[in-house]
Amino acid sequence: MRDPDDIRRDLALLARIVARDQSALGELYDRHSRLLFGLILRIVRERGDAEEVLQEVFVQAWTRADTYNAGLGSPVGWLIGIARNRAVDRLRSNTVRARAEGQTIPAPPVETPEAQTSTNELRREVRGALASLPEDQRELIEHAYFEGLTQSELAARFRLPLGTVKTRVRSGLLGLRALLQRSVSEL
Amino acid sequence: MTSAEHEELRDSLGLYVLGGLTSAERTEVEVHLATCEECSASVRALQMSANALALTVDPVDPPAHVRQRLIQSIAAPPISSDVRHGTLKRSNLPPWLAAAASIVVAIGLGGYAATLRGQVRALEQQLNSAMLQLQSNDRQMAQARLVVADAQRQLSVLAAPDVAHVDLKGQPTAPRASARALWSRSRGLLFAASNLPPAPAGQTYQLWVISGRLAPISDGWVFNTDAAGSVTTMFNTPAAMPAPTAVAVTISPAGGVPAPIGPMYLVGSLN
Repeated sequence: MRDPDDIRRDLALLARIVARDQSALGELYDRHSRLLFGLILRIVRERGDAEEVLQEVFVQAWTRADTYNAGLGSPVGWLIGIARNRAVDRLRSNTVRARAEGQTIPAPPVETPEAQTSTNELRREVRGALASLPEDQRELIEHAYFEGLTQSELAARFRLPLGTVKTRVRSGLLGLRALLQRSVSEL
Repeated sequence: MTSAEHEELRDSLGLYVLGGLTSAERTEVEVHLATCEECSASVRALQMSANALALTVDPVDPPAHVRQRLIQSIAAPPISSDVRHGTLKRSNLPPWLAAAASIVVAIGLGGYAATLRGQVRALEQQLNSAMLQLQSNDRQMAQARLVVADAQRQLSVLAAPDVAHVDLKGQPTAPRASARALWSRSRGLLFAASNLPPAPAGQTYQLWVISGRLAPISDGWVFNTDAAGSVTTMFNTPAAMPAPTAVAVTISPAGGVPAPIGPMYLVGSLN
């Protein structure tokens, strides 16, 4: 579970960032760059790209800290959202370029939640919750989140009607929410 | 909004938070969210679930140079348009910030804005004085160019192979006055006079070219003297003008007249 003190600390850092305190951005980076770099690397799959995207995320945090809305989640949740969206954008543009150049796209890493090593209780809990979702919901959610597939791409990949894709994704996320009620309430 | 439409949009919210909708659908959802508190709350909950997916990935230490580049890249930030105009928009600060750290931020931003305003004012002053200097330099340069051009024309008359000289003497109306006219058919007429009395108000001196028994010619050749009674000036003369046998100066109403009136002030014959 995330400590409310962690959130307060992040909020104070964002306030200092809005006031143009460069050292506050360094502190925010030190607190969250490992988490975000792991996520970005998982999505873009290439280290050089991942490093650039990580830098972009914190530059955006520096320039757009005033747009953070506490009503929509914690600061780390805000950073995760930025990192995930930027990583997916990079993956898509890489994919378009690779297709244009006739290259093959490397397959995403094959990982099952059970196979991953857990480093702390929260991670174990989230992975356990994801693993416990029905397979047909979990795979849609993972492909949407980590590969940035759109609903029509998901429908084509899994040969499903659009309506089914929508309801399964929503049901899966709601299921995760129910399983992680306490743990992710601050994300 | 019917309940069927509400349910259809509600089903889209999972893909909405994962960024998987088309832009048209996304807009439709956002319009709905603006008025549906139930769906807005649902989006917040779904977003937290989506964020939790990040925790299923193992953290990885980024290389140290990423942090170094980041700090370097923000060390010299581009000046935003708000700052350029010397103010920072306080109204853009989010409410949470006001609650969390209003005093720190107000002092921080206020100080920053004041510093920038001072810098902008100083730069504006420097710019203004540079502009004035530049304008003054431009005027001086333009005047200098005119002087040089005039001198070149006068020199060209003096150096012309067909130049003709006429020395003029002061008449009883201006006994101390004297003048010289130099004429070249191709380059014009150079006229220099000294010790002329100032022309009466509303009147001007006018130069006439006399060629034998023909009527005196003046193509608007009017002039005034400086405070010392001197003048040096150039007049263009028509290529078909008969060669002068004499040159005279009278006083005319401002702008000149087609035929001389009144007494002559200066007169001279071809040398």
